Amino acid sequence: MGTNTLTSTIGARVLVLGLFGFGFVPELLRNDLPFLPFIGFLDIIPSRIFELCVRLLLITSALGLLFNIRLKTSSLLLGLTILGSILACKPLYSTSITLISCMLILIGIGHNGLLLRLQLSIVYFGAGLNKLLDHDWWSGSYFNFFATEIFHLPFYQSIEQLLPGHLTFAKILGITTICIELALAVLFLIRRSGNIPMLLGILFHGFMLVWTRGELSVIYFYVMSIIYLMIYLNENQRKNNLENAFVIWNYQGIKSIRLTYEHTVYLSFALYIGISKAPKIYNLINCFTFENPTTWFPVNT
Amino acid sequence: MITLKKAALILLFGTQIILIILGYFSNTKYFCWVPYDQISLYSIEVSVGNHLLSEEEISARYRRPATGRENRNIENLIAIIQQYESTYGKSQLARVRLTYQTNGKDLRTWELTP
Repeated sequence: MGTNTLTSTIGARVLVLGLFGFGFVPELLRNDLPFLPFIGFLDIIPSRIFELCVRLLLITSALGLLFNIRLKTSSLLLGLTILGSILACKPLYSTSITLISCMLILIGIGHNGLLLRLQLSIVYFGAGLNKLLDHDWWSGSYFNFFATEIFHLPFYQSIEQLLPGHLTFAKILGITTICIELALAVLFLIRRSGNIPMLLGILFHGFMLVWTRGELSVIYFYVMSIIYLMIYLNENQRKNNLENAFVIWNYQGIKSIRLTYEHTVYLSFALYIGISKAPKIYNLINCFTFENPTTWFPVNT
Repeated sequence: MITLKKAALILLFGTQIILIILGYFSNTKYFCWVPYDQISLYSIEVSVGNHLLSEEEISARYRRPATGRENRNIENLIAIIQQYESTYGKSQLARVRLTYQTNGKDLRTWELTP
């Protein structure tokens, strides 16, 4: 199995597990569709027909992916089905789910490391540009509200009081976020940057996730980790079969294929966060990898 | 020569870039990769005739909690309410009041009257 097929298989499957595990698919199946669609004409389609089509496509493509039947077609179909469902229901919109659908479409079309990097570069560019043009991110209003009223971040108030000026720490955090996101948008376009953008990204998302005690967008972190992993696998052609790829989640596997310490840490961490916040994913991955998940983390070593 | 694969890739990436640019000129921020661009605490009140809708009824109406937190642009929520009231709920002539606080600034109110 080639590296590209391998990463497609891993990426698509883990993304599908995310769709189920984080509750998007159950939510999708619970809701009547179409409902307040982005594209007006979707409202013309009778609800019963639309829902039947979505369910059929969802089940067949997800099964196709999990059992490796026409991987690319299944991935493309699933990505388009998810995107179509979001387009048919404005309240279902979610940035992370949209990113999952784009990734599945990209896998379906046929990806490589460069295209994955381009996708991430666009995502970070959009995020960074919007913040760059938003006064609240520069004035500290956003982060002060975020840290004091929403997530009650530990140490925030103490650090803010230590610094001179009004909302200085909030301004630093806002400007740093803008710089990191725009830097990631550029770094992902430079292939010679190697693993640096992935490490920077995982530190960035990981830091926010830890600081908010796991409350801030776990699914986004999970999706990003998968895409980073896919880029890594695409650009590091050491692995040549599915079994080896799956043991990337396993400590012994990580040692045997000589991943760097940083990768070990962030992959374990990403999966740990994902699993601890979503028991359903834990069970699903356990089903499909046929491994004992307790061996995934080097707890006693 | 542009193959089907290349055309699909241009469409996929090109659409995203166009939507990011359009997002700058639009109040709503959909499909332009802006999670957590602003945070708002909000509360929705809806009355149809003389009947004030309960939180459950509002939640069922817009598929959004009647009171809660919006992690994206508040205009996204306003767009949902506007679209509902101009389509499915048009004949009910509902009065909607959305009270919200964005990024810790002053409370603001948005109203929709028939």
